[in-house]
Amino acid sequence: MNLGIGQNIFHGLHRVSASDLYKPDILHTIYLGLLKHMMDWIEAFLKKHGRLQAFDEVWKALPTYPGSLVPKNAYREVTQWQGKEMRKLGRCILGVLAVALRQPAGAHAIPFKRALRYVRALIDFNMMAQY
Amino acid sequence: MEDYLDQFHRMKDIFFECRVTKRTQAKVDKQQKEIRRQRALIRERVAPSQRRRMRDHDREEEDEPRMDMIHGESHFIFIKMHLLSHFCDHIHQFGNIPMYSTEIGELAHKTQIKEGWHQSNKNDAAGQIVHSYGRQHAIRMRLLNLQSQKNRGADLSPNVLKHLDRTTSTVSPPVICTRILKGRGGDVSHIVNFSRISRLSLEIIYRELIRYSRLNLPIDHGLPEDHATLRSLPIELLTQLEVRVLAFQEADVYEIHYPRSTSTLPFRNQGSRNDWVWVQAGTEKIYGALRGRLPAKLVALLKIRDPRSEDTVRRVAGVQLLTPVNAGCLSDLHGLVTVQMREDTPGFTIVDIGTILGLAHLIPEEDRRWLVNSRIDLRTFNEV
Repeated sequence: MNLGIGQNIFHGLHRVSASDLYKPDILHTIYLGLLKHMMDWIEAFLKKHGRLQAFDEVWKALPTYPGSLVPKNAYREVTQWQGKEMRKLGRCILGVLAVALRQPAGAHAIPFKRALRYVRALIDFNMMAQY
Repeated sequence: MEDYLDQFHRMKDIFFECRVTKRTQAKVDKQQKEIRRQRALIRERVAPSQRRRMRDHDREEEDEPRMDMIHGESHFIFIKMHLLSHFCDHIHQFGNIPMYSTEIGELAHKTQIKEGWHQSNKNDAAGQIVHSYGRQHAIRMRLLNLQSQKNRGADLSPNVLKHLDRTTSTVSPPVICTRILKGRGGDVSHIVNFSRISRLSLEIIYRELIRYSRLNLPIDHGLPEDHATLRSLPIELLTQLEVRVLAFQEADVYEIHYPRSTSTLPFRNQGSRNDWVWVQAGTEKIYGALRGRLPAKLVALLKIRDPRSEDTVRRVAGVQLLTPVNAGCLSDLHGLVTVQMREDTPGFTIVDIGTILGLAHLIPEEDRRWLVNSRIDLRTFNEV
């Protein structure tokens, strides 16, 4: 058989090293990047609006699912997050937050709505990226 | 997908306050002190009765420049925010981004080096490893090219066609949708025992069994309808159901779910465990976004032996069906469906185990209300 491997197009480009090109990477960009930032923001947000306790309670009461974690500790008690755990968190966070922010009182309604929209958009983006 | 990203960027400023750096915080504090000092200079002593109103007023006055400062100083400019914008293009061109991985180099180590090493004869392996992967890659490319030519209608020699069919044909295996009952639980031999363990009244169990039999079983093979005969039927209570669930976008890969139900008996010496499952309760049209499926709590798994009609065994499950709130519409706020356990619906329904589709993930919201977590995996995300 007369088969061979050709040259990648990037090998010939001037000042370009093929191995250093940017590759989309879910682990470092989403799980350990944006989700992590998002959780910091959410924590501060919940603290400001006094819903942190409610969030922790819902978090602890999550039921099991195959391939998913059963959190034994409240969210704040966990200090280290692996990529895998962050992925599992990403799958539950929208529901948990929706429950924690339910029945907003008067002035809270608008920020709560925006926060939920934000989280929903990010989680859906993440789901679509793997679809 | 671009829509999601757009929405994401439009909504992010709610978290501005959480992006405050130490430097900005220091600036804000300084500004506040300045305002307070100026105010102290202007204002003389106030009557105690007015002090409180004054203080509230001051606070509001302080808030405004503070927010301005925060919004002006903090930003969302960091690299990971930007990288997302490349994801869309990448997906349009190359398909989805592989879930786990991460760096190409780490994956390549396995497919290109380790497998190559296994296929070599371990003698002067480096050259063989390099060649083996290259060869495989080239052959795969060649096959794909031939396939696309064939699809386009080019005339290829019959030999090539035969070979193509053999290597690339996808013969779908027969779909196995078995559900297997496992784990004997409790000391149950008759309906009376079951009624005691499950704390359900005999009346309800009889009524549901008869309803199930009328709806699902052929007339001449149905369960007996008089209570005395039903009472004498031997039954078994089981604790675990094995459901094979087709993995997302796969034709022959299954995930196995094990919903458990211990009725009211303890599970591993702790409280009883009754898992949430999906039950096919009707056609696709009903229940809005849930498309004919309802989440339910699995409360009992039973085998009922019917000695009158050739010892047939009926495998049934007792479930507590939940009903969707708002006809199963997605909430425009968080995009999830809320379900509730209604007071007026029967708390116990008997269904065939074939209608159980797999495990569900519900997040408790309030008393008797749950949110259906459709983001738990891609399959559920697709279906709901």
